[in-house]
Amino acid sequence: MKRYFYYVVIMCMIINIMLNVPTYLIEQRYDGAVMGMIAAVVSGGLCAFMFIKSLRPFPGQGLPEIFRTYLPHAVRVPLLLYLGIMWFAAGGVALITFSRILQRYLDPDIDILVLRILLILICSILAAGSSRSILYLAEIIIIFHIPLIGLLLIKSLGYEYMDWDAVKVVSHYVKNPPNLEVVSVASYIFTGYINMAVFNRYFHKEDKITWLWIIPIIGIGVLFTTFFIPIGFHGTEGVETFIYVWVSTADSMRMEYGFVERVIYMFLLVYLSLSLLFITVTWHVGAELIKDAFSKKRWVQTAEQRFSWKLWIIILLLSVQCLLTLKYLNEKQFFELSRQWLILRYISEIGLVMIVFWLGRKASKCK
Amino acid sequence: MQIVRALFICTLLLMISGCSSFKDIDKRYYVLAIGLDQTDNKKKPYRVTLKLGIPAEKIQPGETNKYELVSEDATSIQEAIRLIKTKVDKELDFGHTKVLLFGKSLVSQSIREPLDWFLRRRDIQLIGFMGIGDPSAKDLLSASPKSERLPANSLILSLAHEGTESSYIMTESLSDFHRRLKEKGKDPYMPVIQLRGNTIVINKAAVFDKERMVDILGTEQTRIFNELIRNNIKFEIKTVTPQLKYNITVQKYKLKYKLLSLQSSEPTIQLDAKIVGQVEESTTPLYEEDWHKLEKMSEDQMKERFLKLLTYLQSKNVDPVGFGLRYRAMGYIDEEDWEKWLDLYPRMKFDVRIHIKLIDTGVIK
Repeated sequence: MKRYFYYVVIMCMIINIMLNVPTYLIEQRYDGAVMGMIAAVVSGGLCAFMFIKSLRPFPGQGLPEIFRTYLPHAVRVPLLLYLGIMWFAAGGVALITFSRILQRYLDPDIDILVLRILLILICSILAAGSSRSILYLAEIIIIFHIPLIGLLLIKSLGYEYMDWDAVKVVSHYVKNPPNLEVVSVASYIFTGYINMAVFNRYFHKEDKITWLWIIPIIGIGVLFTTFFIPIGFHGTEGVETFIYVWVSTADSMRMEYGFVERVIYMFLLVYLSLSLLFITVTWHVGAELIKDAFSKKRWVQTAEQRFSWKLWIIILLLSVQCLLTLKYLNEKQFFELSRQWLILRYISEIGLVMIVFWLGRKASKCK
Repeated sequence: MQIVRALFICTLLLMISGCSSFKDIDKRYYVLAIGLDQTDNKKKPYRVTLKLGIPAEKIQPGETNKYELVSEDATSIQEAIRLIKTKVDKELDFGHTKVLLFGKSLVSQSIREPLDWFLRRRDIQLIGFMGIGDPSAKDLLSASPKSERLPANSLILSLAHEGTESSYIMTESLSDFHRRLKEKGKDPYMPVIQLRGNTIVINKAAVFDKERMVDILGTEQTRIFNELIRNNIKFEIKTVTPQLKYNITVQKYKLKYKLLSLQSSEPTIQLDAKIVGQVEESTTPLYEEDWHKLEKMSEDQMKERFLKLLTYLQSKNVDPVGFGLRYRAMGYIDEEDWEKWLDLYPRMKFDVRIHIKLIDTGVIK
């Protein structure tokens, strides 16, 4: 069971492109982005370590069960609701960004509303399944797509037009101190562990998660490639021209002997499935948290893996917000909003880790 | 579960509406190349020319490269495209546009402004090849060489180095050009494509500053320029002395450069080229000669050619190799240091060091 933890972590690492992490980082490449990324590695790695260690006294329990045991009702319900909405927002940001990219690059004639409805329907049906089947789904998708992403990375690192001088230029700005925005945006890479809030229900005593130190190491690699490869391709100045900077980077690569010469199409297809997976996982976790806030009974594990109507209705109700943004927000406003959301998420994440750490201490003292 | 399945199938029906705006392949015209020229008319400065491919059932060299050339003058590129749409019966599709040609008169005015449309459009690929059409982009698009199997294919094959590979052909993609146009310390360039009868010749290159074309390099200069810019390139080294004349083809080539003694009165750019090659043509048997001497003679002559081009580019105050970027990459650079570099570049000295290693003289002595 324990390998499934890493699929979720890796998923969050490679999905950063759909949450506009590289765009925000590159905007601040001359003021503290590099230092901010290093700070994010420390903070993200530490958070992951603390969270997983603190969950150890609670085998087979998710956050809702832990909160039910230790927190009063008046604290538990708002906290779960807040966390659930934050999880929904993560999936929502990815959905909105990805539907825009799909419409722009694959079929400009399609109505974006129809596209979003379709994506919401697919993801909500998948997300309303059981946690176990979602973890299986994550395994399949990650295993199929890691080789393609690896190919993309190797191709881009050795590409003729990759300019290492530009990378060096930006890396010299490491001395500039980072701000909160850069750290919170960059730390998104490490945030995959937090989905254990619900998936921990399936991790029992014997599924002790080891090799936690590998998270910061892979994280450094992912963070630095996601930031430096676009700079190498578009130069230190030209890189800020592009809105979806990684899509344009993939478009700058040619594969003469590939299935399709334009790498962008391979890139879009890979990220189509990864985004669907990411949306599914986050919405599932969010819906489970919200469901538990309203339910009177404590969750018990059943052998059955079935579609849950309650989850589906919660997901549909909350995901409709993604359609509303279409009416009220243009691309620029949406970028601003998702930037603010990333900062809020970072603060909440640290808060949540603190709470879980405190509860973990309490539980191990009681024993 | 059954209801869920039924619902899911019903949602699939929604996709059908997506097809209403979709145009079938037989209702599309594929734009294979775009040419952009400047007109004399001040009110309508842009002349946009599109090369539209006409599909054929069977591919035959020289037969199936049929195309339609449509062009229109307008105040902006987008307006010209709109006007062209009134001239053709099918939907224009830019998904296969791989060649972007610019007229010589246009690039000597400005390239920044017209480039915006190409970058902003989602369907113009960033890997598209750029080139300067001499005398004009429109004339070049009308060329259809005899061996060509698909319209505009000969341009693509030569520029992509997929078909012919020559050290005279420069290649520039839209993405790289845009990068160089914006980058501090690396200037753009473009190949110059000329029309000879019904065929095309690509053996010149033009260098740009951040706004417009500065100069067109000669054929010989272009070859050296290509050796400076590209890393994996096949080329020849010509050596002529009063006694003998021989050519070396290069098998391995590696160029490195660094900036030295920037603070002193003689700031230097040191270029190190390592070459491994074999003799391909000679007027006299070379086997018995002292190979070290041969290597030395070639090194000297090649060094001379490099120096000439480097000082020429320096005198034009353009930096396509990227010495300025290397300067920025050497350490933390603020605005003041950058100003210093701009002063420094015109008086930089070049120190070219070339190491040629001859491995054989070909099949014969």
